[in-house]
Amino acid sequence: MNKEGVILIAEDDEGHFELIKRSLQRAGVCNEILRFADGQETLDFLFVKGDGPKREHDKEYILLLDIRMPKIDGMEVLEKVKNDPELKKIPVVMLTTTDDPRTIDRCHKLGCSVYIVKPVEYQDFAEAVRKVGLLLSVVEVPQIDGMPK
Amino acid sequence: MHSVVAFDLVTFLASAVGLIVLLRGWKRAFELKTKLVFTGLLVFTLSYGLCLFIEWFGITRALDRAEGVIGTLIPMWWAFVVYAFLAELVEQKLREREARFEELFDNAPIGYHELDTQGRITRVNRTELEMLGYTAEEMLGKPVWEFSAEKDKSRETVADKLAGEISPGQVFERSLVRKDGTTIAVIVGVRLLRDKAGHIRGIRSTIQNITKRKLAEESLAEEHNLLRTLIDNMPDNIYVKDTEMRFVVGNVAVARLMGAGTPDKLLGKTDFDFYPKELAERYSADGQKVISSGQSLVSREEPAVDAAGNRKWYSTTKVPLRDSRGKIVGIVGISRDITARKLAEEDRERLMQTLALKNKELESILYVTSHDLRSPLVNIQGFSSELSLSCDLIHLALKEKINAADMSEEVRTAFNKDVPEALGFILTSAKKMDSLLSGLLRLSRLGQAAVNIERLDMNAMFTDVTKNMEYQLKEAGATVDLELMPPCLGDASQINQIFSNILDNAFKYLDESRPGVIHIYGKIDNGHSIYCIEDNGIGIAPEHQGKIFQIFHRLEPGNKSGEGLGLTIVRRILDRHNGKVWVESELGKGSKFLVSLPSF
Repeated sequence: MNKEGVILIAEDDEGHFELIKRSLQRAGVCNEILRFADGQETLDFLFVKGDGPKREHDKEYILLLDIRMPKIDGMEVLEKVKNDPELKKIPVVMLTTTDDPRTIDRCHKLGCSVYIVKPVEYQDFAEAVRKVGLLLSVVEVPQIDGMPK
Repeated sequence: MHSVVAFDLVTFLASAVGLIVLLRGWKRAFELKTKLVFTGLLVFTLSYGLCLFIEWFGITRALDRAEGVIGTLIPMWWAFVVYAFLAELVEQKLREREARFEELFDNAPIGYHELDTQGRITRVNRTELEMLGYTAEEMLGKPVWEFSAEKDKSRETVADKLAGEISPGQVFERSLVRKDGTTIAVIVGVRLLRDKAGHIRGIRSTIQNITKRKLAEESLAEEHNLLRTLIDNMPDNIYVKDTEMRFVVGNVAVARLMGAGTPDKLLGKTDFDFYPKELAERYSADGQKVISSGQSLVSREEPAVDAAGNRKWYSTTKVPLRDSRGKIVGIVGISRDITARKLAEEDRERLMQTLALKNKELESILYVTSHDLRSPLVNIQGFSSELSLSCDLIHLALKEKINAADMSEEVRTAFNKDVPEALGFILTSAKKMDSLLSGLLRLSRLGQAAVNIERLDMNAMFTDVTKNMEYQLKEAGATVDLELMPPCLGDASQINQIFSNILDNAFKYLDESRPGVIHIYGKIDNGHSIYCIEDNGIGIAPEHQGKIFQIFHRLEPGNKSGEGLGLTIVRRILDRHNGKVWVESELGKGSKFLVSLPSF
C-alpha cells in the first residue's frame, strides 16, 4: 500500500478509534486515516452519497470495520461492499470485540480479508493493531476506479 | 211234507239271523277300517256261505233231517264266534284310542284342568300336577283358587267365567303357588263347558308356565334399568343414533348439553334441532362417515357449543352399531368434556411460549450486555495504559528539568506511588471484569450451541482430555489413574468440556503436602453411565458443597485462577444432556465428582 492509500476506520466508539489510531501510528503507519462513526457514514462515503466526505477516483483504500455500530452494522456494510463489483476489491479488516464463532464464520463467508478480535488487555490490543499496521504497510491494494453500480 | 217245510223255515230263520250278525260285523269292520278285521270277516263269510250251500244242497236232495238241523246250527255257531271275535277286536281298538287320549291329556306340553260349576277341580293332567308339585288326590275336588297366589282375584274371575261374563279365547296371566311354596307365572286359557241345552257345566282351562319368560323379561328390565342408571350417571355424553342420525338413545348428560332437558326429548330428533348449522353438519358428516365406512372414529378432539352458548371441547368416539346380522343400523357415540384440559393445555402452551421467549430474551440480554460491556473495558484498559505511558513521559520530562528535591513530598508520592497504584487497580479491575464477561459469554453461548448427541467412546475421550492437560498434570506433579470406561450418549465437544473442567479443578485443588493422585473410573447403573473423578486434594467442607455449582462462586478467590464458572458450565451442559453431577467430599481428604449420563 503506497503512502497515498487511505485507511478507513468505521468505529462508533471514539476511544477505540483513538486507541487504534495511536497504535497504528506507533507501528509506523502514516497514511491518511478517516473515521466513520457508523455504518451509514461508511456506506455514504464508499458509495459517494450524502453531504459528508466522498470516495475519490483512483485511490487506494483499506477498510477497518467494527461490527456493532448504530444505524447500519459492520456486517451489513461488509455485505454491501462485497456485493459491489468494484468496491469488493477493497480489503476489509474486521476489528471487533465480538468473538462469537458464528459471527466470525459469517464475516469470512461474506468476504472479509482478516478478522481480528479486539483484546481487552491493552498490550494485546496495541500489539494486534500494530500487526495490522505492519500488514497494511506490505499489502498490495488495488485502485478503485469505477463508480459503484 | 208240511213238517219239512216247517223245519226248513227254522233253518232259514237261523241262517237269516247268522246273515244279519255277519252284516253287522261288516258294518263295524267298515267303521274300524282294519285289514285284519276285513280278512277275518272274509274268511268267515266264505266258510259260512259254504256251510249254507252244503246244507241247502242236502235239503234239496232230501237227506237226513237231523243232519239238516246240525247243518243249520253250525253256521249259527260260526256267526256268533265271528261276532264275539269282532266285539273283542273293537273293544281293543277303543281301549287303545282311549289310552292314547289319556296319554295326550296327561303328557300334553301344557297344564290342563276342568272345573265344575262350583269352581272345584274335576280333572287335572299330569303336566299341571308336575308343574305345581301336587298329586291328583291333593288337587281334585279343591276350589281352583286355592292354588292361586291371588286367591280373591282368582275366585272372582272363576265366578265371572261361570256366569258367562268372559269373551271366548281370553287369556289371563296368573301366579300359582306350588306345593313347595314357590310361585310360578302362568298364562291361563279358558273355555266354558256347556251341555246340549247350552247351560254352563264347568270350565276347561289350559295352563302355560311362563316363569322362565317372565324371569327373562324381568332380567331384561333390570338390565335396561342398570344400563339406563349407568349411562345417565356418566359425566360423559352417551348417545345412539340411527342411520338417519336421529337420536335413539341419549343420556342425561347429552340432553343437558343440547338443552333438551330430559333424554326422552332427544328421541327422534337430530343435531340440527339443537346445534348451529355448521356444527350439526359436521357431526352429521362424521356420523355418516362411520356408517358408510364401518370404521370407528376414536378419541377425536372437536369443538362444540353448549346450550348456554359456551365454547367447549370434546373428545369424541363414534363406533358403528350393528344388528345381530352384522348390518350397520346406526352409531354409538361417547364424548367427554375436555374443556378444562384443553384450556390448561392452551395455558401451558402460552406459558411455554412466554417462557421460551423470556429465556431467549434473557440469553440475548446476557449475550449483548456481556459483549457490549467489553467495549468500554477496551477503553478503560487502553486509556489507563495510555495514561501510564503519559505519566512516564511527564516523569521523565520533569526529572530532566526539576530536581527531585524541589518536588514536594506529596507530588512525589502522587507520582511515584498513588498514580501507578490507581492505574494498577483500574487495570486489574478491568481485567477481572473482562474475565467475568468472557465467562458469561461462554455460558450464554452454551445455551445457543446445538447439541449433537452420539455414542461416545469414553476411553478415547478421557485419554484425550488427560493428554490435553498434560502440562497442568506435570506442573501439579500429579498422577492420573485411568480405568476402562463404559460408553455414553452425548455431544462430544460438550462432554469433553465437562471432564476438562472437573479435571482442571482436581489439579487446581490438590493438597500440596502430598503427591496428587487422581483416580478416574466408571460403571453402568440402571441405564446410566456413571463416571467418577476422585482426587486426594484439599476436599470441600460440607457447608460449601452445595455452592460450588453456583455461578461465579469461588471457594478460594485470589489464590487460584478462574472465573468461578467451571462447574456451572458442567451443570448446564449436563442439564441439556439429561445428565447429573454431584460431589462427595471430605475436607482434607479429597473430593469425588460423579457425573451421570444416559448409557443408550
